Amino acid sequence: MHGMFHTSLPPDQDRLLSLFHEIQNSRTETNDIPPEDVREIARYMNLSVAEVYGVLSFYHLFSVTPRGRYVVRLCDSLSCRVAGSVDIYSYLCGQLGLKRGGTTDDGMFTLELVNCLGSCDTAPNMMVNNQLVGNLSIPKVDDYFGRLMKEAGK
Amino acid sequence: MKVKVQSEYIRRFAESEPSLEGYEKLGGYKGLKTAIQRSPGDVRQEVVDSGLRGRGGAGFPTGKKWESVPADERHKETILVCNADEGEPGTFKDRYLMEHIPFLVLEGLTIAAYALQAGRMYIYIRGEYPEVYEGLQRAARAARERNYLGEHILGSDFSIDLEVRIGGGSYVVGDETALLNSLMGKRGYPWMKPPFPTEKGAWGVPTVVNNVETLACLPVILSEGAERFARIGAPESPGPKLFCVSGAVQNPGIFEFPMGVSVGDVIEAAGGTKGSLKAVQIGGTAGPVYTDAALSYKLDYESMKKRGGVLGSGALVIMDSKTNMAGVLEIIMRFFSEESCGQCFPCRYGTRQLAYMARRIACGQGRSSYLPLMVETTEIMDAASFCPFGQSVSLPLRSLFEGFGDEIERFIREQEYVKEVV
Repeated sequence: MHGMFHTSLPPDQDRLLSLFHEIQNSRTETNDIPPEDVREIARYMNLSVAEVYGVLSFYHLFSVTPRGRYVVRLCDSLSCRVAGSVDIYSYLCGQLGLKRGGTTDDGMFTLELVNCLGSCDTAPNMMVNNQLVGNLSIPKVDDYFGRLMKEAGK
Repeated sequence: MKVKVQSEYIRRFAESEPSLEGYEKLGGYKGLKTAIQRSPGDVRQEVVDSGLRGRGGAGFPTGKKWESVPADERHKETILVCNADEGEPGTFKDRYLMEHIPFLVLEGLTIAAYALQAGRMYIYIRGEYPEVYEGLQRAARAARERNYLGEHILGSDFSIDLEVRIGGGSYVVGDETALLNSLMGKRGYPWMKPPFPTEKGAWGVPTVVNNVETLACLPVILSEGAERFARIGAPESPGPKLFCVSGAVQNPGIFEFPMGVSVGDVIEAAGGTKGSLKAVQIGGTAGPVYTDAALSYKLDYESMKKRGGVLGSGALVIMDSKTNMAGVLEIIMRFFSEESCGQCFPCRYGTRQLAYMARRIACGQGRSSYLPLMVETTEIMDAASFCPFGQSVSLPLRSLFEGFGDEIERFIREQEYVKEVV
């Protein structure tokens, strides 16, 4: 039996990435896959813990350590750089008091830098959890994060 | 999403709503209806005759790939996989096709599945496209309701369904062997060929992997004939191609042109350069960075190869005079070091060394000895890396040094600092 997570996915290894997404998306406060779940997944799929961890750690989108409620993935590939991603990055770092990979003390935001989000005609882009936000400017970032804070009642 | 598509081929579908009815109204599913009236061998021959080459980057002839599935292995029921792991920086055409014309992709997949007499088919979508993943599942449900998927498709003997799968974020997985490992729930490591996937692919079964845009070409090839398709574009690279234009241009977007169009014409379609043109990277991050001399270059597989470059995915990233090339070097080297799968030593270590040196340069701590050292590192990677990923680093690096070496050397000498280092 699997205790930590509930899934309708069959216990086949080719469903592993889907299961990672499912678990991570369900953990809305931390956006992670904790070690307890890694062990449960291994049991559920009849794989070794090392194997599950080995797959999990290979892919950029998953994390075994807790992150913020909102994972902000800012693109810094060439198209976004030409369109000013560095200004957005500096601004975000200043506003959130973070550097790449960090999480705010209140657990609201994690800031990540990623490679191409595949929407280069709307550069600069970021993804906040599963939502793509393009054509970034500092006022747009202010507006967007203001709304997120309001939603969270902060 | 503001997308400009100029084309005879895609636009007729692009004006439809992403609904099945809208797609049918514009001639959608004519290709599949034509295909299932004919024998699978006939359909394969039509695609061979069209001269269609894979739009994912390598440009391998699609019909030839299909024919390389050993005939005596067909009883194993070939697996067909649509490679929708669009991770090449500067590329967003597959996202566009799947978001706006999902049925064109689904129709292409079903035609390919019929031609191959496949037993299973998948779309593997990159993890960064969750909304595309949802959208394609909706589209597949709609297609199933109208019997374009499922049992006895359109009353024929042929049955197949589609499974939509999502990745976890990895550039290397765009390689077909790495993609199949990932599809099986493993690390996205490429494997050494042979065996080629068409001989021994996912779960040991012959597997054909085709790119989204490649599959999107099939409906028109079937409904209007290979001959018409083969007449478009360049002789060795026939057909239309989607070019993704981004960076310092007035109207970034996707533009469809016949293969063989010039770089200048594509940039002009995007409204021209914003500011003055300094550099253009063609084919993705693994492609060379050219000076403005590239404006006259013809965009097709053969012409780009003759220039020592690649057509790749058809991405053009435009850089204006404000762009600092030491910064560009740093971005590209960082990209490779973050995305190296780590399986082989030359690539894992080489990309880290390159990223380290590029970062030192960009931070104003570079040494002039770094440049030959970086070239030497890529020479070793070219010779010793396991897969094309490690071998592809040398193209952008050497072209940057050829075209912009003076600027980078001056930058090192004067120990400037790129304010743009993240």
